[in-house]
Amino acid sequence: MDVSTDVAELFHVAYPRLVVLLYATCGDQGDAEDAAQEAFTKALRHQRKFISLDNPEAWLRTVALNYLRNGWRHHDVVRRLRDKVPGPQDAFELGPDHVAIMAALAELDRPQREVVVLHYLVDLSVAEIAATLGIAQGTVKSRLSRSRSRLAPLLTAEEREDA
Amino acid sequence: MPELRQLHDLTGQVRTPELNRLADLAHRRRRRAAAGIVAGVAASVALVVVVAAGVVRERDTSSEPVGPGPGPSPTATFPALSAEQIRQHPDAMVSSDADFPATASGVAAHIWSVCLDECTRATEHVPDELQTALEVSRDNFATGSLYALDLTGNISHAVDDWYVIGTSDGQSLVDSRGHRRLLQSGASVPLSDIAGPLVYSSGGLAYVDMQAGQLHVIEGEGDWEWQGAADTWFWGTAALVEDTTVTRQAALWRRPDGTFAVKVLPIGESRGGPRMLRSGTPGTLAVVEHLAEPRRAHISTDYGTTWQIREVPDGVDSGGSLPADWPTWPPGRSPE
Repeated sequence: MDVSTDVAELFHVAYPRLVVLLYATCGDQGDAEDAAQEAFTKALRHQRKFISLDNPEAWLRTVALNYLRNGWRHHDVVRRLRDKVPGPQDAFELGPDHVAIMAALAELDRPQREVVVLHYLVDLSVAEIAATLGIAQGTVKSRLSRSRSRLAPLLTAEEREDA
Repeated sequence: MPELRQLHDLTGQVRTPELNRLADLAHRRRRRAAAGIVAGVAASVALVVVVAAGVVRERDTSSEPVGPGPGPSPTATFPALSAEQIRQHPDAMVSSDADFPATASGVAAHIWSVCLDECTRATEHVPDELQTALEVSRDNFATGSLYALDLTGNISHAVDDWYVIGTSDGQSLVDSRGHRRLLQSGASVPLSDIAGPLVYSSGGLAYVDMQAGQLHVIEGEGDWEWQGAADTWFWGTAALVEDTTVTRQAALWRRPDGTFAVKVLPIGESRGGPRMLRSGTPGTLAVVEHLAEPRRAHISTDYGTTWQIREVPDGVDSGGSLPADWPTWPPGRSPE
């Protein structure tokens, strides 16, 4: 299958961003890479239409998050049934700050973690998050509120310890 | 939470796979998509499968990505599978135990799902493209009961081995022994009148009157969390949220006689909801205002009959365990 230059360029720019977003969401680098590769694989099946989208990266984000929500939890089964995408999965070298942030995010449940990552890491607005996840804006606000209250003391404590 | 931006540092460490290998994989999947559906359904529904496979082949060459949000309405249809067919489907996926942790000993649930085509956000309104079933067990899935789902957004554990699921008929209680009870809609009630386990219903946070088989929506937008599985006893907290402010916070628990009770705690408005301290002792509830300064714990040791407020010392995690020496904590003052 030939890959268009546009798709190739987008892949090299967007793939790392997508993996980090997914890693922050699920906490597992392997699952994050699987989901990102699944999204790109799906895009490649229809690449001419894909590249003509107004915001192909947003489409990839939505597809990958859907994969995490609908498929990633089922990965034990999925991996037996599907072709495994080959590729490097070297572990990230995390600094102390990264470890602290990931540990704090791990305190959140999955729905809360999704909205926090999309808001604070990807800079999406409440409305954009609601559209991406298919939930009400009020639900996004509620989850952000609860997440902030959980994260604040954890991240603040880390800062105090650093000081 | 600007700290989260530091995770952008990691983008430089991501190693991208070879794009051509992804493209080859996409090509193989494209060719195999229809065959996979044909092989995936039991022989007993062979006639229906032939129809479905035809539809999928057609969609496979015509369906293309659309942007997030409302898109064109695909006209494809898929056969409605039974719960057992969904579980037996070779493409079926099953949720992890962490998705639906139990609140009673040995009770657990699995969600089985099978995608018959793309299952992206753009196609989520296509009927029966993604089909799901709930399996409830109380013996680690040695036995259990299966229920086909048609509204996957409404699955809540209620209490014991009872779950509330949403279907086209309305919302029902189902259990591990195959019992199904259709819930009637009751009157909406304020937070202070909760008298049953809390679930998320189509109308928002609601409690189930297990005796009457009624669902009562809680007035206001709310959240709830339970502490049952970790505490060998059913209790949790509920909070009402307006905009991004938590306005009311309550503790909810089950009495020894099986009835439920609630106490709206004397906590003012807060940026966040309450946390809970596990005690491991039936009858003991400990709810923490962890954004208060100093933090306060509202504690009852007699199934909610009496309550006391204590200041939580530094070093005690708001969401951890209730230490044995908590009676030595200094008394706290009610903010109200």
